Amino acid sequence: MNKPKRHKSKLIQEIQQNRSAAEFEKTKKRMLLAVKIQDAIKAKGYTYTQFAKMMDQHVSVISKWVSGTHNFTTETLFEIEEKLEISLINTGEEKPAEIINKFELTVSINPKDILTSEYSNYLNPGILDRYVSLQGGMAATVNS
Amino acid sequence: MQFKLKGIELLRTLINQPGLSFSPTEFQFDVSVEYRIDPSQKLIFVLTTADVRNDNKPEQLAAISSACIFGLENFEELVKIKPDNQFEVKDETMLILVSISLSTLRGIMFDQFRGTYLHAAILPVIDPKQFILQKK
Repeated sequence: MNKPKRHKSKLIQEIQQNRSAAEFEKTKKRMLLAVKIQDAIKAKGYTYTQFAKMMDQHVSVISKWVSGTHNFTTETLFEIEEKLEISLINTGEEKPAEIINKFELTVSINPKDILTSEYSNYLNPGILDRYVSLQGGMAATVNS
Repeated sequence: MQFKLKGIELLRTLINQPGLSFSPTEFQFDVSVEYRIDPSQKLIFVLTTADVRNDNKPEQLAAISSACIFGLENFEELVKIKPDNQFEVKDETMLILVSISLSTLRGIMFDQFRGTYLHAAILPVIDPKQFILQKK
């Protein structure tokens, strides 16, 4: 079985040696920001085209945003935060409450299955006593 | 479990006027449950919403939203706070809180709908586990 070889390139080694720690950190943060935006777009179920329309941008701009190479302005980040309901800039404000989950389901009922007026007689005090005693139970009512 | 129901909020009530020929065949309820927390006050907010429609038709007949606010004494044990403002509530706790919140919503809905054309639109019994399963 062939083992994958680790690619060694002088050029890459030179670039890696020459890059500063600060520059590396900046690139890392840019990439993380891009991933966060991409994840939020996916989580919302938007396509890039839909999201581009929401942001009033061309779809190619969105592609650049999620590539990690774009230098965002705070205005753009604020707008993305608003549209995707995420937090991208830490302003030091502690959010007291945050949505984690929203669950949805649908149930239904046929109105004919709901007991209404014909059974409400049983709830009148005298009739209720009789009904309950017929069923073999006891009912306690308070007369005002 | 040590928790208290600290408050109930009625967030939204809406009943739309149906057309003259309206005849309900099946009330459909689109139910949603949302969670929020306030760790500093040891509170969990459970927001429940039900949109009522007739037979899967797009027209909304009614919409009710309510929130139950629970105070948890052993908050740290039951709620795990994750980075980036995310959190996870223990399943057993969620089951109880969702169950109480849905029952409260049912009561509020009946109170709002009684005597109207939606009198029979009683929110069916929902197994809260269905919401837990969605989480996984």
